[in-house]
Order: sequence, then C-alpha cells, then structure tokens
Amino acid sequence: MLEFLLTLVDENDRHKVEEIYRKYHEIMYKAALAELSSKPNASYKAEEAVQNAFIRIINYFEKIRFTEDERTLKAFFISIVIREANRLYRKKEHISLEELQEKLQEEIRSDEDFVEKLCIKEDYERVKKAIFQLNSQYQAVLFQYFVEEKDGPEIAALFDMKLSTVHTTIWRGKEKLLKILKEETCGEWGK
Amino acid sequence: MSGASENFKLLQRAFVEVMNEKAQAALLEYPENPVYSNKHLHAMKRILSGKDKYLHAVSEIRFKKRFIAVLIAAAVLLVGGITVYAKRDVVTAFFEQVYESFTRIFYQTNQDEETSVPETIEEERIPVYLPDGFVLQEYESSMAHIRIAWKKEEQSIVFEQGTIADIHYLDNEHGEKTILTVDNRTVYVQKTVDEASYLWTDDEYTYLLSCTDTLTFDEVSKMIQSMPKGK
Repeated sequence: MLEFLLTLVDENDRHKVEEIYRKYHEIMYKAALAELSSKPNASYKAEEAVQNAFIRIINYFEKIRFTEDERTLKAFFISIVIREANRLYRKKEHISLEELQEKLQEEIRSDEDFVEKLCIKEDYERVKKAIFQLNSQYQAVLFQYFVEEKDGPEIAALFDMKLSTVHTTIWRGKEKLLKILKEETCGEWGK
Repeated sequence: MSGASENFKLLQRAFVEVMNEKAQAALLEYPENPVYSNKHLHAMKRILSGKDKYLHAVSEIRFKKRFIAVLIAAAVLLVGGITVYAKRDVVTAFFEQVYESFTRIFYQTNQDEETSVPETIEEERIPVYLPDGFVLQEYESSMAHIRIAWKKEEQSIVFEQGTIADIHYLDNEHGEKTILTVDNRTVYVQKTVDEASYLWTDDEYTYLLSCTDTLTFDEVSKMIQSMPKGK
C-alpha cells in the first residue's frame, strides 16, 4: 500500500518520529490552538496545523538537529507548528525584484549590526519581550534563521515558502524587532 | 567569546525561551486534555506511518469538481436495500431516465450475479506508478471511498477508489467517449478539451482516474497497470 510514499525506511527514524509525536503532539496542538483561538473552527484548524507540521518534520527529518537541549528542540517544533497555524490564514505579499535585491544586500551586510543594535547584553529581558511582540510568522522564521542557523533556501524548503518571501520575512522581522525596541525608548541603541 | 558571538548566543537563547514560554502559555490556556477528532487521529496515524511524506496543506488545493457526487441514497436503493429484482429494475430505469440527458457512462457490477463484493474498502488498490514530478497533494479516505490527488505545476491527477455501490456519472454534454482495454481491464474514457477521465472496475471496487490532458495515455496505462489486481 502506497509503497511509493514510504519514506522513513530507517526504523530508528520512525521511532524518533513516534517519540516526537508522544512528547510534543499535545503541546504543538495547544500552541496551534492558542495561535488560532480567534479564528472559526479553531480546534479543527489546529489539528490541520499539527498534521502539516508533522509532515514538514518528516519531510525535513534528515536535516533536523536533534540537540541534547530539550528546550531548543521543543522550541523548534513549536516554531514549525505556529508557522503552519498562521499559514492557514496567510495573506500573499508581493515584492518587486529590485526591492528584494535591495533587501538582500541590506540583510547580508547588517546581520552583525542588527545583533549589535539589539543591545541584548545590556538588557536581555527587554529584547526577549520584543521578540514576544513579533507576530508568529516572524518569530518562526527568525527562530530558524538565528537559532537553527538555517539560510534562506533551507527555510524556504522547510516551510515551503518562496525564497523571496523568506528573505522579506527575515528582513521585515528584524526591522520590526528594532522598531519595537526603539518605541520602548531604550537608551543608546540605533543611534 | 567575542562580544558579537556572545550577543548572538544571547539572541538564540531569547528565541528559544520565547518559543518555550509560548508553549507554556498555551498549556496554561488549555489545561484540559484535548479531545481530537477521529479524522485527525486517522490522519496522524497515516503521517506517522510514513505514508504521507509529500502531503502538503490539504486546504491549499481545491480541485475543480467535475463529477456529480456519488449518489449514496441511490446506491443504497440499488445495491443494498432492494431484494426484488423487478423493483430494482424500475428504480434503475428511473435513475437512468433522470440522468440520461447528461450521463452516458454508468457502471455497476452485474447485480444479477451472486457475487460477494466488499461493502467497504478492505484493500487499497491504488497505482504504485506515478509519472515523474507529481507530488501528493491530498489524501482522503473513508470506509467506502478513497481519493488521492497529485499535482505537478499546473497538471493534476485525481484517483478515486470506491466500492461497487459507488455510482459514477460522467458528463455527457462535453467531450469524446471511448472504451479501451488496459491490461485486460475495460476502461471507459471521456476526454474534454483539457481533461480526461478513466473509469473501470475489477468487480470488487470501482476506480476513477481523472487528469489534465497533458498526461499521455501511455502514462495513464502505466498507472493502471501498476495497481494491485483483485481476485
């Protein structure tokens, strides 16, 4: 039955997926439910988000970093499911090629500047609070970008996004994060 | 550790903590044990068994409905409920008359024969061969019906397996109809400008394969031939 779809040939991989299911299925469902609480049929949509998240996890299984740090691994799965939850209600964004190239250049040269500007060493909690305020789409993509250290194509493959959308999301996410911090009138950053 | 590296690690930590705190908040918001739908549990079982690797967001794909829905009530009347052949003939004639104006291909097994046919799908018989580049987009299954859809750019293939009780009606208003033999199976074919439908049975189940016209008959034949055979 459906031989052509069989993928996780390795029994160890299959056991690992089952373990992920046992450990994280409920929390992923609840995280999706929390994301979708204001939407109609939230529970069904949350289930759909979880199913899609597991499909992504399986499709991307070989590239998952199974770190010893359970909090990071859990955060990884949460980032996938909240992205899937939001994907169910996503809006298409259009961006011109010129704008994209400009943003790519900006992104390439400003990663270190960006981290520097956050002044995270000086006020860790304030930055964390600002990350909280980002919408889930930015949180999920930036999580993959900064924590999992995935590049644009890898994030595009993981989330089934256009590469241009990934770059735009990273760029805008970083901008929004800086904007939130700026609005909170933090000291010297960004000057 | 350099300042930049230290900042970067702190940022990573912040993101991990945010995700974990979101999860914790969700647990607090929904402390009760969740009650999942059967559909979800069934879907998860399939996903975990590794059968749905390429399945993507089901809600994304909406294929154009080209066939009249299976008439369950008619099937019950025609197959399950009526024991007097004469009455069934009257009912059959009625439905044939009603749909004569827009149907041409109507398949059911020979009901006069004493055959034992499954009333539910006991065995999935679906094509093992799939043309290059097609990716599974949708999988739906119930006790009496399976529907699978694949897509490759603008091309699509939809395969359905139903019980003998399923009655498939093909649009008679448009297109060209032919009957072909593929691997000893009699296949009813209907082609329109941009789509083709193939309908056949193995006397246990009915099968309907519809695809965009870009798929060659050779490819369709390979799909049909790759299916497990019945008794």
